[in-house]
Amino acid sequence: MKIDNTGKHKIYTLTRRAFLNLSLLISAAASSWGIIKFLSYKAPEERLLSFITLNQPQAYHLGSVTYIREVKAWLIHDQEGFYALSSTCTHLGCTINLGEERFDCPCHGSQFDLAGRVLKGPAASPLPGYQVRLSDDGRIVIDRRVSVPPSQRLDI
Amino acid sequence: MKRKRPNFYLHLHSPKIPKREGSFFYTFGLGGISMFLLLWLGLTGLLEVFYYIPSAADANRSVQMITFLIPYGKLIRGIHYWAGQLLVVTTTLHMLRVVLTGSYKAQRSLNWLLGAVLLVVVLLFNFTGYALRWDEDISWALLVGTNLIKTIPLIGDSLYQIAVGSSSIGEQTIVRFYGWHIYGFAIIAGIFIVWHMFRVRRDGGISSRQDDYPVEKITRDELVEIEILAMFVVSIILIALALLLPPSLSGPADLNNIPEDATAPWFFIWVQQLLGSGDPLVMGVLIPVFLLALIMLVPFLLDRNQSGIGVWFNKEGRLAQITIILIIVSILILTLIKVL
Ligand code: HEM
Ligand code: FES
Repeated sequence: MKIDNTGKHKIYTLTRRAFLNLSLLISAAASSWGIIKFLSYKAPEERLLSFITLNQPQAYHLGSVTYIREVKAWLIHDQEGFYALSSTCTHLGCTINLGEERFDCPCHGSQFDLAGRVLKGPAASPLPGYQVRLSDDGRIVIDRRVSVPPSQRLDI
Repeated sequence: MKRKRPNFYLHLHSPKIPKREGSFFYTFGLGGISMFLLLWLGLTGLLEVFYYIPSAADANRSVQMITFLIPYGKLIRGIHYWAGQLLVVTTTLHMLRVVLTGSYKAQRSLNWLLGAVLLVVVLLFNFTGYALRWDEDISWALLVGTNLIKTIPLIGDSLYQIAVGSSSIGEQTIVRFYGWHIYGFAIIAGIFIVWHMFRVRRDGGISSRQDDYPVEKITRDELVEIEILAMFVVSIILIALALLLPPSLSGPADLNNIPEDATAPWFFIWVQQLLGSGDPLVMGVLIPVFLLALIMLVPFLLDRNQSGIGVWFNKEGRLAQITIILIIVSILILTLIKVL
């Protein structure tokens, strides 16, 4: 852009080169925007069931800790009843393993107790609990859509 | 070789090369070997494309097929794998050579930056390549690596979306990684390598000492002879590694399974180790980005001297040399802690 300030007013003239450069810039910006939008489409994908109906409560004896892969949750049966914990480590998402009376994450070594509380980092927050209820025909249901504190039990 | 018109490969070299710097013990041929490994990667990768199926259901099966059914498939996959692993080593050592001989100084600082981009591309190539196996072993590294993107403030979620293509890893992810691996990074690497080579010539050829004149020179034919020998040696090593230590492959990835243990690809084990000891954003994103920035800033911040070019361990470049050595040693130590 040429600036002519010989007179009192500044006159901006758009040279052909500046015009072409400007158009180039605008088209680059516009196409980058389009490319980002193009790449950002969220393909629908629901890999996990939102809830699952399992067996009768008797199938999970007192003291059992069972992995339910379809909903990525641990179903736990203790003195006070049944509850379910997410099996996804709250650090960066690996699936936790059952260790000695606790859960261990194989990725960076976080540990959680059976109530989902962090025993050892790097994870900073506890494992979320999912609702456990009985279906009409008396079978156990784990529902990921309803989060509950792990202290809430299904007492049978 | 007494030809009037040099052939194309010869033509890529300067007609005369300073004897000391043209010798194997100045560059150790590391840049050249990296180029040659990339050539192997391109060729074997092109062949694998004929059988590889980029879909969550079939990817792992198609790699099994290449490995166990297709004639010479095991060899081709093995060479592709080992060329990729060696490339990480040779580019790192090449960078070390460049820094220890002060070859990043003055007009070569742009080429240093181009090299740093190539180093990043090499790592991304390698990581996306591992992901294409779509097996148990890589699935957790893939999960952690992509979840790490989400921790970046403001743009994290959008970046995750662009990398993964959905709200979680799946069909879309493998197609995207495939696209980047065989097309995106290949184009970027191609452009940057041509530029890198062009800069070497443009910056007056390979860096050399400026004090001892007259410089003794050799003709390019001599250099080309050494290069051809190096290519034979590298090819033999690749074939031997491919046959004796074939790359691993476990069963199809299933993120609903419980992993027994989960280890990142070897060149990212240091990040995995860092992640165990603190905030994910700091350990997994900020520290690696900081190290990369430090590397890139070598000619602009750590050593802006014009002297010491071509001198091993030149004293003007001490700070730069120590920084790069410290970075490499820390990464090695972190890796060893995790592995041992
Ligand atoms: C794919 C990876 C790379 C390839 C294929 C490559 C290739 C080459 C080749 C063939 C040379 C000629 C001299 C020699 O062999 O040492 C060279 C020089 C050079 N490279 Fe690289 N390089 C790569 C990565 C890097 C990296 C990671 C850096 C540093 C951050 C770097 C910085 C330089 C510089 C500054 C020179 C000029 C050195 C001198 O004149 O002595 N390159 N590269
Ligand atoms: S993902 Fe569990 S500790 Fe990092």
